[in-house]
Amino acid sequence: MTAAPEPRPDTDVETLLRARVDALVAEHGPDSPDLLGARYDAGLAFVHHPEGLGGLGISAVWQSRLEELLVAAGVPAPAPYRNPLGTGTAVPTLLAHGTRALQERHFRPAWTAEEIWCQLFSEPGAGSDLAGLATRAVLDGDTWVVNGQKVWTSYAHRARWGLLLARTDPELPKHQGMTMFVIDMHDPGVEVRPLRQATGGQEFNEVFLSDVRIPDSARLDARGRGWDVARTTLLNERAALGARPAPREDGHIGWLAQLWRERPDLRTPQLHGRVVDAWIRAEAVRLANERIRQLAATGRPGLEGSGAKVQHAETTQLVARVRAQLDPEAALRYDEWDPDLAPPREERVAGYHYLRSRPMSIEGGTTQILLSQIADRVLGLPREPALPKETPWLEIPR
Amino acid sequence: MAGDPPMSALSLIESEDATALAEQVRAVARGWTPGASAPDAWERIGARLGVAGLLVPEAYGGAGAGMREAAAVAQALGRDLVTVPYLTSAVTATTVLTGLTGLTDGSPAAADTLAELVAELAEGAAVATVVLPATSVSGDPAARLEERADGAAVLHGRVAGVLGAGEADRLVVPVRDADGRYAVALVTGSAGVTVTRETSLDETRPVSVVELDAAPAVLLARGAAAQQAVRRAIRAAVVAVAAEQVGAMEWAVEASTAHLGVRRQFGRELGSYQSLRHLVARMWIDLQQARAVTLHAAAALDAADELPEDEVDLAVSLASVHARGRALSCLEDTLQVHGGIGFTWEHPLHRYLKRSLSLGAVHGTADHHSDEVARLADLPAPGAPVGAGAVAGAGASHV
Repeated sequence: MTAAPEPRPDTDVETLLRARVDALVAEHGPDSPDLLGARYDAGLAFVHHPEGLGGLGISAVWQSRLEELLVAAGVPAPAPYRNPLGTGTAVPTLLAHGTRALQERHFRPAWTAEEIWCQLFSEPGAGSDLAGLATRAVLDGDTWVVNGQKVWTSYAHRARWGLLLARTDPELPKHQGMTMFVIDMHDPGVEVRPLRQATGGQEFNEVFLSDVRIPDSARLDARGRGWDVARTTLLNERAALGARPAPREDGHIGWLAQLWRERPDLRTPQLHGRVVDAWIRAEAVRLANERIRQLAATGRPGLEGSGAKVQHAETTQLVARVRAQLDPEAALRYDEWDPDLAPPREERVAGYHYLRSRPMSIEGGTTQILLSQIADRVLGLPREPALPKETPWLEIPR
Repeated sequence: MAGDPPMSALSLIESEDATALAEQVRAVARGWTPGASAPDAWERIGARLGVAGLLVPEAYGGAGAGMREAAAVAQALGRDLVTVPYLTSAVTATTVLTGLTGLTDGSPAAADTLAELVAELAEGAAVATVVLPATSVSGDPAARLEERADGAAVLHGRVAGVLGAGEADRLVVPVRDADGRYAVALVTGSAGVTVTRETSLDETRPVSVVELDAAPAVLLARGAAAQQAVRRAIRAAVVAVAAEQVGAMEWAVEASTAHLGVRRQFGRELGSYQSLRHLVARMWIDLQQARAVTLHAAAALDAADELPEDEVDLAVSLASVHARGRALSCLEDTLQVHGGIGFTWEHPLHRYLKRSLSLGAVHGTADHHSDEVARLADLPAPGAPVGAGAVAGAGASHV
């Protein structure tokens, strides 16, 4: 990696951003279908990226300012979930651990969502204990041959590329024997099978890998460094900080409040207490997240964000439960069990949102794991008893 | 800070002044027993550090600071359970008095008396309290003003549950005059005044009965504006209490973490047991939330001139419910973590626990403030109409 360029003074950055935004809008107009690609080419996709890779080489704290300027210029915000594992995790991972060739090949189509990404980490035998995974990559010349099975893989059915974490050195301790790769999801050895959830939806997949061949040029970082690469990926996945402050009554709490206001016939004193309590909790989480966002924006992200996912999941679960119990008639019914016919997310019934809220404390890091991480990293509490870290992976009982 | 994009929302980051002050307070309090500070504690903190005059305008000899700084001090004092009359004198009484300056409905001596008193309080040379039950939210008077033919003013009444009366040498008393109008008076001596300490749940800041039997006083101000000043002072005290409770949570997390690292059973540290690790991790998460809601309320108070009144009231009530509720849970969990030793008199935990429970009754219960949140957030109770007295809901906030 080359050394970071000398930081520019604030007024220069502000001027630069405004000039680029103005030029972008002048050339492409706010409704152009090429706008996303043009943003990348103008360095207005990931401002902290080096020039030529969708950025301007400035501090990431300027991303939210850029968003403000684009909004002011009438440029619609790109759909935030168009390629979440692409822009949210694969791009930062490749930025930190990939070759320039990989970055140049993958950043732009990930940004424009022409190429969707997925993440092949968890396995049936490796969930919270991800480092115990068994999918095997064996070197054959300058090609890796991969066999194994992945699970909970979002977007696999639509993905062009994936981040694959595989075991390359089973005789080493588990954390030292994995390597990260970029996998071509169109390889003939890749089989994707959807998993159906309790909501009726099929957001996740199983992925079966049978003699998939990956060139060594698609390896990220060194052999055996897969765990460190994965930590970059997971850090970005969990640090889901918005660039903009979240407004009050956003999302689930907004739906609950709206239902309460529109349906005086549903109100009881007990439910009122639960609704107000839920509102207070949701506001507290919103303010806590806003403080985290402000701290990060000043360039001093500390440990305050460690609890963000736990509180977000549990508060959403609480709110969704109250909403699902507010209307007895609605509680008996569902909108649509067939995912292909289901309405958009914001229009789903309360029962759907209740169900979908339950795995929030499991996916992307269980509450139990996250609490243990706070205990370890924030509070420095004594560690729990465990197998010695140097135990070779092959010797761990499975 | 250089390089920052412009911020348009209320800041939820502690100001540098606030952080510095808090550190100074903690440095002075180091080594004191929680709930039993050194005898010269107020001299050292109130006078020498200037904490007594924090909220007093510079024109009256104070620091002219805001609620963000006042809350940071309250938090530090709450963390170490420092027994000084900060809340009652430097926050509530001081805010009443500075709020009354400029009002003209008092006696001819009022303006001078006020100015003198505020300056004395700012120096830490005098300690005041507002004679109201600690449960008061609206500042409704519990005493009566009698204005005699010779122009003298005396006060009558028996007010129980008053905080800070034992330490006070100046009593600021909301009263009703003969016409039923609201007024605020200052007791001018010790004649006709009896202060009797009550056996209190929180012996570190006990309540007293104040009896006024024709106690001579000077009238400081009269009318709706005077009551508004008292209400605003109580509102500031609500935020200071929330901040104190954030401090208590900081102590709880620190004490629990320390204990779990030291205490061993079954051949290993208690902190290696997951249920306890998770309990304390949750306490920490609650602390981060309580910190944010309290910073928000303090920032809203400081921006009160630019914000809708309802928005400020909402921020304050939200912080009150959340911080007090979470703090009490936190302290209960801290007791659980400590086991039996945490329940002994010698361990400071019981003092924090009692203060927390007691504060649940001060300046509005959780129920009262939850009802306020409901009203201001437009979440009407069964039977009430939508839209009455509400801040616009969805999307509306200044953060």
